[in-house]
Amino acid sequence: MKFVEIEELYDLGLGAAILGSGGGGSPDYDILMAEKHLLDFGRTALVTVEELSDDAFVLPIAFAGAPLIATEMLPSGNECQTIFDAVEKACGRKPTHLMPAEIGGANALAPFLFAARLGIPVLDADTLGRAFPELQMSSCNLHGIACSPAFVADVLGNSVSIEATDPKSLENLARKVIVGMGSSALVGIYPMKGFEAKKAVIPGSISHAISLGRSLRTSKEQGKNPIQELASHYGAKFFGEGIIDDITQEVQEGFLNGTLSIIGQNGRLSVTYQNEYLKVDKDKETVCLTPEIIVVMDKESFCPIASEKLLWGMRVVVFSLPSPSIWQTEQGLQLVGPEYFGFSQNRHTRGSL
Amino acid sequence: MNSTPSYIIGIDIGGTNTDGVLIDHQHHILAGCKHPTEHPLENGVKKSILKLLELSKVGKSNICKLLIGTTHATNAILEAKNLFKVGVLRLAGHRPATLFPCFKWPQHVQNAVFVGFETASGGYRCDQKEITALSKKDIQAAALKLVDQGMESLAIVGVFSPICPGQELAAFEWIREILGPEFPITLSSEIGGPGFIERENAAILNAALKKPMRIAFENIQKMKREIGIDAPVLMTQNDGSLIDLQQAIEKPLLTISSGPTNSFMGGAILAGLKEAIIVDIGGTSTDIGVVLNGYPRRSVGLASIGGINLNFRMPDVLSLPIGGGSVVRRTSAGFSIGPDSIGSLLFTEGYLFGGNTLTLTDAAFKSSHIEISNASKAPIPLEEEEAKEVLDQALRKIQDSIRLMKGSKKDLPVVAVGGGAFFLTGIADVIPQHSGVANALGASLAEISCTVDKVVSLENREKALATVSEEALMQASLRGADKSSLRIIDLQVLPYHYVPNKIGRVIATAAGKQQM
Repeated sequence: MKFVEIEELYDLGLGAAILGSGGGGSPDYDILMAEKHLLDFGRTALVTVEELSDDAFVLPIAFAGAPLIATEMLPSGNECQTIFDAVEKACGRKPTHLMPAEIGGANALAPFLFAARLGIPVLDADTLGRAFPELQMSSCNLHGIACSPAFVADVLGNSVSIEATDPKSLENLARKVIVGMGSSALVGIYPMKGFEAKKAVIPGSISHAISLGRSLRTSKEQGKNPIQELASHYGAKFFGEGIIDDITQEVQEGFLNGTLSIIGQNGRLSVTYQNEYLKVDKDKETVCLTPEIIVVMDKESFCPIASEKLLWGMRVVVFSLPSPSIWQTEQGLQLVGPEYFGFSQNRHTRGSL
Repeated sequence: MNSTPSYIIGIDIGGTNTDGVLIDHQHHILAGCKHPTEHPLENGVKKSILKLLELSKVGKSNICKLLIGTTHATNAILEAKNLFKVGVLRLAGHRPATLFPCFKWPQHVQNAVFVGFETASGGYRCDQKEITALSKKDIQAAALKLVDQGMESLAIVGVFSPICPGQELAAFEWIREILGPEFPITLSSEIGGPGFIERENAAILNAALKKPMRIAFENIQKMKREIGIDAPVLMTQNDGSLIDLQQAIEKPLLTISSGPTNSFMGGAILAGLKEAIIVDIGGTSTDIGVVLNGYPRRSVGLASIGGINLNFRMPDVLSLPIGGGSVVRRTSAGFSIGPDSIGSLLFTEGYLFGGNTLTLTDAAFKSSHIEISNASKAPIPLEEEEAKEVLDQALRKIQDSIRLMKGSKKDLPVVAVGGGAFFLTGIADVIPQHSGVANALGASLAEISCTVDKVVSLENREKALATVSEEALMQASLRGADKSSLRIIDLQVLPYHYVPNKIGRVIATAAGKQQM
């Protein structure tokens, strides 16, 4: 067990923004909230999956709704307590560990807004290894953990418990509840015992994001080329850089679909996204596909740009990181592969992390 | 209307220099001048005005407008002096305890500005339903509590007030009932767009700045009357457009960053171009911007003043720490240029002027790239080859950045302005006459504009964009923009995703020429 320091919260935010593949929302506000939580309630304890006891009770949490709405209607800070009360009613006990449901984007920080105040540790793990838009896209689903009971809490202390027969039904039901709560809510899903978590979660996700963020930060501070650093330590693959000169996008069924076009000195790149960046084409040839992690990064600040913040005229670099290994299996690709998102699969995914 | 010729004076009050120009109605420059900025500000402005009148031989009574751009508000924040003590009233029924006002602000600014905050019932959700209803009694009690804590100016910040300003307006009226109509109150919905913390920051800074800006603007007004000029004073805003003095006193934050906008606009006008890359080289830095459609391209990220995040859209500036005063040092690998600069001390400390600090100006002179008439005869400690290497290194960096800013628009002409414009001989396509006072010219020719920033339903996208654009055009016209030149200069759409009801943020800016 170790304790998470303020500086690590910032590195975690930066690493999580990279792993978000453009989705999961920008972690800017969440980093500040996590820092305030630390100042108010002390540092959060982080335990590894190996340290977890078999009878622990782990709850993955995430903010759901529109990331931009959470930057206007800030969380109250009581949402997790509301969920814990509901969990206790449904399961007869309160969770002993929190963990982020997804490490990509703002949700990597979610447990760090609540854990110290609740007096429990955070498990160094997540269930996606990146960000994806739907609740069934989870390592817990791949490993047969029941998604229910699931819990949704709003900013005012209201909560809903959902018993769903399968993860896709849960996704549909929860989405309706979240919209009814003003499109900003905290969800707790796939509650599980320690022994279940050991086989179903992706271990080390938080430390991985922290070290990724630290690598980017220190290479910036030392004036090194961050992409080269990420290439030699994390398998990053560089596609090109340039200025965004076209964006087409529309919201359909709650998803932000679009394509951004980047003109650089060495040709044209286009990145297709559905909340997350899913595909990169270089001069019309596909060079990268989901579930590889696609990063669009500001050329000067080296900050990853979330898809909801794309604007014409941004100067950006585009690169990828390898997909988490769980998505590279046949089952994994069925849930989050190119075909699920409507692209035809005609190339091999790369090596695992 | 009378038939006497009318003239405009434009003044840019920078941190180092106060620049001025006097132009006629056809935008010809009749006089330009540069003075060191003085405190109080009106002294430097007064000297500039008198100098311009003397040079141009134009009579005081023929001046029809005095246009001023200034970084005074920015400096007031950075120095944290003479600011009002601000209390914050949040209208947020869910009482968010996850972030408090002024969190992570630089301590000295927070100490100078912030007395405390109260959270009252209220706020809206994204679907425009109230989070909770307002309570008049609670709101008035909260205001009195903040007054007890030493509040001199109030900022009211409601959740989603940019879509629904109703609650903020109601709270404003109730508080005036008890604190009186003179008590300074800032409504966040009038200062910033969506993004609660950035808007709260903006509202607090605006509330604090009402003190120094009122003093500065009223003194300028007084000085203007003393020297016998009858024309109205207008201020340039961050986006390069104008507001009158009364609005500037109420919304001083909107004037914080007009400097780069004015020099980019001024550069394009001096060169007679509607589309250009403008490179402004001063003593300390080089600012590169893009003018498209006759207007500076806006930046995409958040703006930050003195370490405080704001959600304004500032001009898109790529700043390099390269200027005439940049300090040049030998290193193991060759030479380093900057990032530090001796700034205005160049004229006493640089080798060329008899000092002993090696600067980029020395290298440019030594490599025969520039000529300087009053150069000292003292030897510059660089071989000619080395001087060339230093200069090339600096110019290469500037050229790389120009290329980056151009993107796909490879044919954009490059215009150099600012005190160091002549450095770009051979790189810039145009180095216009009067390039040293481009910023003052930009201020004098600023357009009247209006930005409307709304969260709307995008169910019928075309109609939604048209409605927001129409509102921007109407507002700009009401503020006095000339109808024939009125147009939409910027339209951005930011859809909110993960939400099925297709809402999004639309930002439209309309602008038109001043009516002469």
